[in-house]
Amino acid sequence: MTIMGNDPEMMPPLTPAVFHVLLALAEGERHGYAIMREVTETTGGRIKMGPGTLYGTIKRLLEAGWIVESARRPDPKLDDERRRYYQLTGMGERAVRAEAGRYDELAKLARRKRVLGRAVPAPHAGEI
Amino acid sequence: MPNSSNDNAHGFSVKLYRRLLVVYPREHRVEFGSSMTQFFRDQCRDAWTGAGRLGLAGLWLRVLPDLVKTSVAEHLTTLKRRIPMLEKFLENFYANPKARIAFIAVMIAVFLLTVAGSAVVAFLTPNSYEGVVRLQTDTQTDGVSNLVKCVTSESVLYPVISDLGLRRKWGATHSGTGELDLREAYTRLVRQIEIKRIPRVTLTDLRVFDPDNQAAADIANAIADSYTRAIEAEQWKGVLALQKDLNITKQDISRLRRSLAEKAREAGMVETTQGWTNAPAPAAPWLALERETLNKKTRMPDANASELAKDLELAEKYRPFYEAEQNLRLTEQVAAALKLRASAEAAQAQLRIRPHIVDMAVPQPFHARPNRPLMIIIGIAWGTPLALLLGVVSALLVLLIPRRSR
Repeated sequence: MTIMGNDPEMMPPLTPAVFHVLLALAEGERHGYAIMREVTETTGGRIKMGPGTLYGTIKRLLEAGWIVESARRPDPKLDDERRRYYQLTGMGERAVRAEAGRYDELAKLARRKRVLGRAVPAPHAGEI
Repeated sequence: MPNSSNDNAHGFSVKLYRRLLVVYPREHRVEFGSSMTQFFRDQCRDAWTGAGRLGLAGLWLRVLPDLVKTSVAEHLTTLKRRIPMLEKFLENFYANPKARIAFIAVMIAVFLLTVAGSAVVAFLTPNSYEGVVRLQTDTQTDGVSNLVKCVTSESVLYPVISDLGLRRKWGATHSGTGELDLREAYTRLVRQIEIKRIPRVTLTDLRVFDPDNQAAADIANAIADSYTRAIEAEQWKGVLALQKDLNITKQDISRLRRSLAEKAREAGMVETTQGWTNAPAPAAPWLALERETLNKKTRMPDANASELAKDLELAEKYRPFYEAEQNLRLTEQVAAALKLRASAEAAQAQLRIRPHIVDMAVPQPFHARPNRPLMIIIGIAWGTPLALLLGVVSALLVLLIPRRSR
């Protein structure tokens, strides 16, 4: 995945991995493993990110300036103090909002076209 | 609940993953390597808690494709970043004839020098023959490092140097002083030895290299012989030490027996087939009585004192005899224990596998070193990338150094 340009609103749609990482960070700063758990939970286990995928995504988001590494370090008594926490930047927030808006528009369109919110037709007797 | 198998499985998985991170570009590894390892450690912990070994296996099945896919992606990204730089360099390189000449000249010169150097070294290195002895090695010295340490020990090699007269021989041919220092000869001999275990069996090849094929075989055979003798001596060392102690104890017993007979005669006793005549009660109660008498004497009235004094006199008379007898019994017990231990050690030494020579070395008609074609191939293998690298460096220098104004 390549993140080009600085204006998130003008960007092509984000990949699911990037969007989910940004969504996970929308609620506050998290470390890598917490991001992965959040993504797994919110997608009902459909997306399970490996360390390579997650840190590849984080690297690109850092380079694009959408996230930054937070100065926060966990209490060494409670967790490993070497953990690195990440948080959204203003640009990252705009990007996740823009992408969510795109999904919202798509959902509205789907409703208008009666693809979403339509009653599921009852099966024929012979199909059961 | 943490347990050792849990720790082992985690530890091994994390260690393996950390090693596998080498597939990523260096800069990615430096930046995210420790975070990725930490991430994987957390995943291992959760997988183990969830489904034990099966969970861990499932995790590996997910992580390995992720590792391959993302490492390739990272390499491609790194390459893409470098391409503009490379394109610029090539553009300048083609536009600048001096840079092209520098690249080609330096590359050819370095390549030829490296190959010529390796060829010179290959042909100047004197021929060396090998003497190979095949040994059946002891299971206790299975590790190659142990075996090398043992074969190259002074206790094994000094007798070889002495038996084959290597100090004189090498001194005459190499240093010209007549005789080589023992330590110098030992160091030289160690350099000539190579030990190679044959996998999955307890056989070991002991190789000795020497410019003379007969000498190579003789030295190899002598080392193997000295080694097997040294190991055998080591295995019997404990038994011999115990037997030495036993002999000393036996001498002590003879001395104590003579002393006992002397003490008995002094007490007016006569030795018969049943033992000693006039012998009072056994030693220990008698000596106890002596102590008790002394204690009572300090407290009793004078009327009983004369009776107790008689007992004391009697005890005093037989005391040297009983003391000698006690010493004799104790020493006999020690001797019996030593004898038992020596027998056990001897049985154990018999059971140990002793190293022995399977195949002796014979003089080889063809030299083993140097392998000239291989040395030249190594020269080419090193020379090619080195020539390319130095060629690129020289072209870069030509492109980067600004032209002096005329």
